[in-house]
Amino acid sequence: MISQEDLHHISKLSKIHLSEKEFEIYSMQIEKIIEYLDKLDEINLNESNDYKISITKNICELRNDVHVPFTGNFKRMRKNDDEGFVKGPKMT
Amino acid sequence: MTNRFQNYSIRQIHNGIKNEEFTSEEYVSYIIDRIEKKDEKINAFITVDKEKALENAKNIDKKIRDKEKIGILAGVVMGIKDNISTIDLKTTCASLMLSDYYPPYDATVVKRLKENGVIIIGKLNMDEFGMGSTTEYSIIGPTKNPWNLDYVAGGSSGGSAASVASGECTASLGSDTGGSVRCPASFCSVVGLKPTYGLVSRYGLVSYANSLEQIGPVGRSVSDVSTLLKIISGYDEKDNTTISSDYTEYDDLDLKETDQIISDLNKNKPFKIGLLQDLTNKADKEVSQYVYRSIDLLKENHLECDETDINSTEYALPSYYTIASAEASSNLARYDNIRYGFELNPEGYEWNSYYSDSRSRFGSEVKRRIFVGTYVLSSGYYGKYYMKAQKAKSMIKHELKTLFQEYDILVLPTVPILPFKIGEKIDDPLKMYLTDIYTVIANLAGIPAISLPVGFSGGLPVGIQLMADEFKEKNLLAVSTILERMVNIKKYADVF
Repeated sequence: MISQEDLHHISKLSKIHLSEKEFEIYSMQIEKIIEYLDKLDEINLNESNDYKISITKNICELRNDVHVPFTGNFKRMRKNDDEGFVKGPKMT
Repeated sequence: MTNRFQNYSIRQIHNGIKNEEFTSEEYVSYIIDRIEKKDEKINAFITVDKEKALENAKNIDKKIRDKEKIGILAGVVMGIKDNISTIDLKTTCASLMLSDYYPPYDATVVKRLKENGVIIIGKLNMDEFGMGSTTEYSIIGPTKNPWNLDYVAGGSSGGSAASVASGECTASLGSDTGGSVRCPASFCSVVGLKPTYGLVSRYGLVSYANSLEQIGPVGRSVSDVSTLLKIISGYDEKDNTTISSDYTEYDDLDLKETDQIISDLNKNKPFKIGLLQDLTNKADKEVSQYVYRSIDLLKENHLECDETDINSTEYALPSYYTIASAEASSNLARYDNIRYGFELNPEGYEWNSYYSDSRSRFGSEVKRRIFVGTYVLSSGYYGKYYMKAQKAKSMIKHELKTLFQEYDILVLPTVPILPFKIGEKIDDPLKMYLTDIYTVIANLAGIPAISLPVGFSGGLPVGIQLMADEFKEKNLLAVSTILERMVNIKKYADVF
């Protein structure tokens, strides 16, 4: 059961603002989805199976950190440009 | 009116250009003309890069005239799903959040295609950040099914499948997190492959659910898909989950006789195909009858087939949506609309309100998945959902491993239903999720799976799905080739 309070908390954690109308819609939809996911509750975590997660050898190897000069278009990529700086909202 | 190019395979296009039967410029001009005539209705492309495509075509023609070496895919025209990075070509993920994003680098798959002479014609429509099964959750609106414009094209790589089916490109790339290549391939009557996890580099693929997603090729024939897989697969130092290139040798299946393919399959031990009976019987009759018919065709070719089942699939969809949403909530936390994004003046905002206000402009499905992901990872629920989803994933993988000791290929429907009307399921997210019920299995297990067109029901395409053990793409492609020759289905939609 997802309460309005739960959804307010999730919205805060996700940093996504919702209007009151959206709260109504999303709380109904998410409750239905979570109910469906509750099927997983039947699984017993202590029951073992033979499968073990295998890690391939190269997953832990890091490539050499080689400097490659950036050739992209900085100006095109930069948003809220202010004399060479990216302008953001105030920190409080 | 038919055009000589419309049924050409990758090999025919490349050879035609190389042997100067036609020029690369002529072929690209044909594709551009096709896009201009068709895409207004189909809406497969987000961005079309005509000038660059024509420039590249002219360069290929010049190289041929000057007797210079050309790449093995020179002249082939491809579209790329809009969540795969292309240098200086807008990559929006069909989202307002990246509406003006020009990547400073190419994804490894794009780099490999370009190195082999592929011409990129543009970027293809998709569900926002790959989250959806119909391409209805796109900022530019839905891609329509080229076989009937009132119906969905499938998703999330709807643009990748519809553009190939409607002849707006030779082939395309999509990405498959829970069926996003196979579902639209099935709905649009083209071939779509999800490779084994780790076979194809994900470097440059905009992250949604890293532990499940793979980039995969879409084409009008198994041979085209096989050719593309050969080019894009293999080790990449920029993606540590990729494997060495030992697994990337694929036959030129279009050059082999069917008898030869069958004999190769049975070389070491009798090749065995398993029909996943329970899942097939639960699908709509229009779909399941084609699966049974395909099995009959394989039996006619003296391939051993019998029925089997997997028990743990009841947990597949809840497990998939738990893991995918959890990873999405983490991956999409980076979108703060500061470094890139849409125009929203920061003046007058404080940091948190700017962040939450701009993020409220994510589309409805993305927000739903972020909320579900945040919930299942939140304190008190992690063990109940995420841990159990991982356990279910491991159970499914284990059960399939056991089955693959007996069977070489498993067969089931790609999607249990026929394509449905645009808007039909949009208000019921859970109903929409059920579209993925047969495709998520391969993503959870990390195994390869292909969707192959096998027929039409009421004018709408039907696809079947074949799955193999990890890195056994070769078997998957071989059986698909046999079946493709037997069913001989139309894969070029020219109805509008």
